[in-house]
This record gives sequence, structure tokens and C-alpha cells, in this order.
Amino acid sequence: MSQASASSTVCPPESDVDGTSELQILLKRAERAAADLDFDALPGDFLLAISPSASRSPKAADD
Amino acid sequence: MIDTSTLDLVGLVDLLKQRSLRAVDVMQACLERIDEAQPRLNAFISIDRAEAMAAAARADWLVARGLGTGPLHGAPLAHKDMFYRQGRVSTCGTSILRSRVAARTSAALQRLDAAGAIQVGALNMAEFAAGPTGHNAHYGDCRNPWNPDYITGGSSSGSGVAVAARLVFGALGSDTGGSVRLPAAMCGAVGLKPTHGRISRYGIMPRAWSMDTVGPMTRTVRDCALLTYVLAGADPRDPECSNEPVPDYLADLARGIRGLRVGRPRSYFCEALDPEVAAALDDSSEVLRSAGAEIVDIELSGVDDLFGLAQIILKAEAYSLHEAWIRDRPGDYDVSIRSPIEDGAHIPAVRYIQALRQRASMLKKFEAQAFSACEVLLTPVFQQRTPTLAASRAENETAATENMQMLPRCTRPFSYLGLPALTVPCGFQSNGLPIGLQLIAPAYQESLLFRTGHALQEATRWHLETPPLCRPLSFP
Repeated sequence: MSQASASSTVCPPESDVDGTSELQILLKRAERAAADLDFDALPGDFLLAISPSASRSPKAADD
Repeated sequence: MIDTSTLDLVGLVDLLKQRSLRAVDVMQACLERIDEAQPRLNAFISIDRAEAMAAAARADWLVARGLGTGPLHGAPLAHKDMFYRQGRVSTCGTSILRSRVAARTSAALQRLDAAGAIQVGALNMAEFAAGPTGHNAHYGDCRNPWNPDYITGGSSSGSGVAVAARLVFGALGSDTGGSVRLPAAMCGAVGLKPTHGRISRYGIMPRAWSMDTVGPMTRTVRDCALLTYVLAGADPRDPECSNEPVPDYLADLARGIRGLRVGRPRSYFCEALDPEVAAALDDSSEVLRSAGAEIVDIELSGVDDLFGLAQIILKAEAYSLHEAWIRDRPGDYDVSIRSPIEDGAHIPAVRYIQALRQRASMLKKFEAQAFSACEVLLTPVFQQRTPTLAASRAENETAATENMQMLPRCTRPFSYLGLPALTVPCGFQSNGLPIGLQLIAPAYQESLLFRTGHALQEATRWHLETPPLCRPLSFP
């Protein structure tokens, strides 16, 4: 725990024996899941979808 | 004499307000228990003895003058060491932040303070809230009070232990992918992951902001209902915190569960299900049926995708938070924590943004599948027996990797969906370790979860069992 001054370059994860890493599987699955994604869908839609009255706290006065 | 092994937070506050108990005696008993348990369980990172005793004396002084009216007046609580308090250090379970003094107090602590609760100390946790086991290379591993050779679950490990071992009467944890639910289940406590936006995250350490939630951990479901009532509500300092009205969850418990439909999804959640866990879930279903609920089988598809999308968001957001430290001081991270965060460096922006864009449609699809046929879902929290600490250590690579992947399998999909989920003790494994079940409801329907969990606890005694390491304590 004493390598505070060291620096690191993050290398791509190693492949498993069959040539596919867990991360690669995860990314493939995510790509497939997005195949039917609606063109108009935006990240902020989630907050509207989850809230019965879509009400959020008023923006802080000092924002 | 009052036996603390059956006394919960709601009962304690009643006795304190009636002056049947003095807050200083309760606090003294808790501190003695903490001192006894800490060398074996390592639940605390810091203990604020003098401040806690002074606050307890002040609580007694107020009650004597008819002024102690807060719903948590005089109650000893402790919290995961990532809830900031202005002027104090929150280590967040890492040596990197060992000396960083918080510049603000979290909304959750402000609300608990205003309700009269007393913070006894800061609780152990996974480094940066990033591990599901309860290991911590910087402050020492947290130990399961039922058997210290087994993991506590994480990342709110100290919170699960402190509540289950009767060291305090409630605790805050945080849950981004299972970090309240796993330690609650593995230690034998109640834990809530609230609806996304139900409780303000202002002033807590971020893990992955799209899924971060603040969750109470308690001995009983009614305690959890009380703490949630105190914690929930609008906060303009958290832009995703909702203005939805906060029901009186405690009063709602009396409505019971007659006619409520409880859904049991079979696929995904029942894969690789340990027979003892399966039996505990089946027994709990029967208890709920006896209490008036209807148990129905539910078919759910696409849960694997929900898990995967949660992983994408978690890794990408975590790496964006940790990039500079991982680059400049990688040795200050435990490798088992750093390595999964580093995965985020290799997630293309398009995958991350698509995971966020899909969230609304995935939620609607899931709600249509699940909640057209039932009001509450019942699943395991963890499908297998609790692993040992040794089997979960990073150097035991194969078993550790398997555990890291399996532990959040039943919890993480609901983090992606933002739905509320409650963990309730529902039995014991043959090795003496607790089993927890998970209840899931539509958004902002925490009340349904509390009613269901409370009905289970009214008919069972799992939550009254105390770990063998805890001798009963009595107050004068």
C-alpha cells in the first residue's frame, strides 16, 4: 500500500483462455441490448419514468 | 430490567420519551458492547465516545423538560464512514482519504440529527464502497457476528455488523448495486435500497451517481420504516431527489397484506439456488400466504441484460471518479477493488450512454412484466451459502472472482431500474449463518415493502435471534 508515487497506465484486460474476457462479454451483451433502442430515447427520460408525478426538488437558489 | 436483545429502535425511543430509560444508560451499554465486540468484529473505523455520552446527557436533559420530541430522540446510531460531517474526517474506507476533512454535512445526517438521533461513530466499509464482501485492506476486514470466519457482505459491512450484533439501534449504508442488501442479508439485519430519488445523496461519497442510494439498516422492519420516514423527502442540493410526498410508513404497517399479490420469479433468480436458501424462501412465502397474501409465479425475461447494463454504468462512472488516483497512486488501492474499477477505462462512451438511454424503456418493460400480475416481488438476495473470508480473498483468485460475480447477481438489476428493494431475515443456513430475502416494489411504493416485511416479522422470530458473540445486555 505504499506506492503512492507510482503511476499506472491501465492496460486492456487480458483475454480468458477462449480469447474472450469478462469485459468483452459484458460489452457484447450491452451492444445487443441496445439493438432496439428508440432513436428519441434520452438519459433524462429515466427520471421522468420513475417518478409518479415527475417532480424533482426545485433547483437550489445558489446554483 | 429491560432486555436489549428484543428491543428495537421504535421501542427504545418510546421508553426514552416516557423516561422509563435514560439515554446515558443506553449509550453507556452500547459503548460497552462496542468495546467488547470491536476486537473481534472490527465494525467501527472510529468511535466518538465523549461526544456520544455528552449528546445522551443532553437528550435526557431535554426529555426532563418536555423538549425531547424528535422521532429518534436519544437513539444511538452509527453510519458507514462515507456520510460527510463538516469538520470531521470520512475515510470512505480508503487510506487515500484518511486525512480529508469534510467541508459539509450530508443531508442524511442532518435529518437524523434534527430527529434527535445520536451518532456513536463511523462504521467500517469496503474501500470506496466498491466491494461486495466486507474485506478492507486499509482498516481490516469486517467480521460476521454469527461466525467471524465468514464474510459480512458489503460494501456497508460495518453497518450490517453493528446492527446485527446489537451494537447500535440502526445504521446508514449506501447501496449502488447491493451494498445495503448484501450485508443486511448476510448479517441478519433489515436493509432498504430506496427508490432512486427518494432519499437525498447530498454530502455522501459518490460510487456511481446514476445508481447511488442511501439506505437504512435496522433490527426490524418497523425500525426501517421509521428511519426511512425521517430520511426521505425533497432536497434541492441533490438534483435527482424527488418531491414526491413521504407517506407515514410506520402508520401504514397496520394495513397488513390481505389480498396483496406476492410474485415469485423463477427464472434467473432460481438458477444455482442453494436448497437451504430455496427452502427459506418457500417457507417465507407460506408465512405471507397465511397472513393473507396471494403467492403467484411470475415470468421475467431480460434480467441478465439489466445486470449487464448496471455493470456498464457502475464501471464507467466509477472510473471517471477514480482515474487520477488510479493513474498517480495505484498502490493505494487494494488490487481486488482497483481492477474492476479499471475496467471502466475500456468501456466506450457509446455503450455507457446507451445504457443510460435504455433505462426508461427497460423500467417500463419490467414494470409491465412484473407488476401487472403482482404488487411485490420476492427473490433471494444471494442465491448461495455465505462464503468464507478466506474463499473471498483476492489471492484465492478463482473463488474470489466467482464470488464477486455471484454476490450482486440478484441485487444489481434493481439498482439499474431504480426500484425500491427491502431485505428481511428469513432463516438460517445449517452452518448458522443468516439468510435474507429480497422484496421489490414499484417506484415510490416502499410502503408495500414495509407492510410485507412487517407481516413476515410478526409471524416469525428470525429477526429476534441474536448472534452468539452477543451476550444480552440490560439497562438499569
